[in-house]
Amino acid sequence: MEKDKLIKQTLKSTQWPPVSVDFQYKTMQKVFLLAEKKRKRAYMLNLAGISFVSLLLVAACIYILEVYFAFSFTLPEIHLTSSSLSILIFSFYIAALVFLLIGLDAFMRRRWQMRNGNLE
Amino acid sequence: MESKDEQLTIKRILEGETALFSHFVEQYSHSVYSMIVRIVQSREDAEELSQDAFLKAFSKLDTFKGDCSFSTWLFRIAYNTAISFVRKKKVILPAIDESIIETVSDEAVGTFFDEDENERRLQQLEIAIAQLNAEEKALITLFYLESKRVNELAMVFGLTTENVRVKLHRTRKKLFVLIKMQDGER
Repeated sequence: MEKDKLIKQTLKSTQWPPVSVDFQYKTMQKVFLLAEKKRKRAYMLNLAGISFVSLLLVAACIYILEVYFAFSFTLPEIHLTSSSLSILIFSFYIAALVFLLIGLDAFMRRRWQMRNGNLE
Repeated sequence: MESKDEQLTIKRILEGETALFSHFVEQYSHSVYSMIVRIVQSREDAEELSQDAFLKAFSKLDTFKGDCSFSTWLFRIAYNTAISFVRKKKVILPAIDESIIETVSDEAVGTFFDEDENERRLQQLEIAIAQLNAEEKALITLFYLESKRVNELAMVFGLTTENVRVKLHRTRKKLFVLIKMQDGER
């Protein structure tokens, strides 16, 4: 079985077009993309893990403070009068406006940067 | 590449040096492609499947335990990729009576395949190889062309070494029968 030179010769001589010249390049491009995806997934998993552990620690702290140190986390009672409510609404309005303007600024900056990048 | 070097390269790739994977692509792309192209019989499909095999190998690199060589592990992935593809395409192969294969003697087959090559025989054998099933094609390609040992083939195909030996013997006999059928003898 080790000899079988006729089979070896046939397999060697069977003419299949060779693998294309850019096969290695194309494969490595996909490998790099895959590596980047894996890296991002690992980052997100880490982030989720850290967030979960952090929340768990905060919950444990609250539990310990409440149970062992009789610490109270009850919110103070707030009585809203019509004048204080109008001030509150105004503050929310200003805050929303500020967020909107900051968002718009960031969006315009990104667009400008992209356009500049494309021109280069 | 030595097994120790391979292990070291794999460790470095897993630590983030992705570019080192190109060594494996460069070293094994031809062998992987030549096995797959024989199974699927199409250059375009074979290239795509070879690429898939390398991508699978890269994404599963952390599961490579080093109990076999990297090439054996890669061939196993490539073979499974090609087999899954072929199973989707229902190819009709000529049916051969198993009893005919059983009656062929090892001596006759051995003498036949050790004959001096001639153009007609090579052509007949090429046709016969094309009529083998995917597993048989992969088996003879890796054994005769890539010079893989029986224990390595056992790892690639998920069989015992004894099963691989039996399958190799049976494939040789099948090729012999297929050639004799072309000659009109069987």
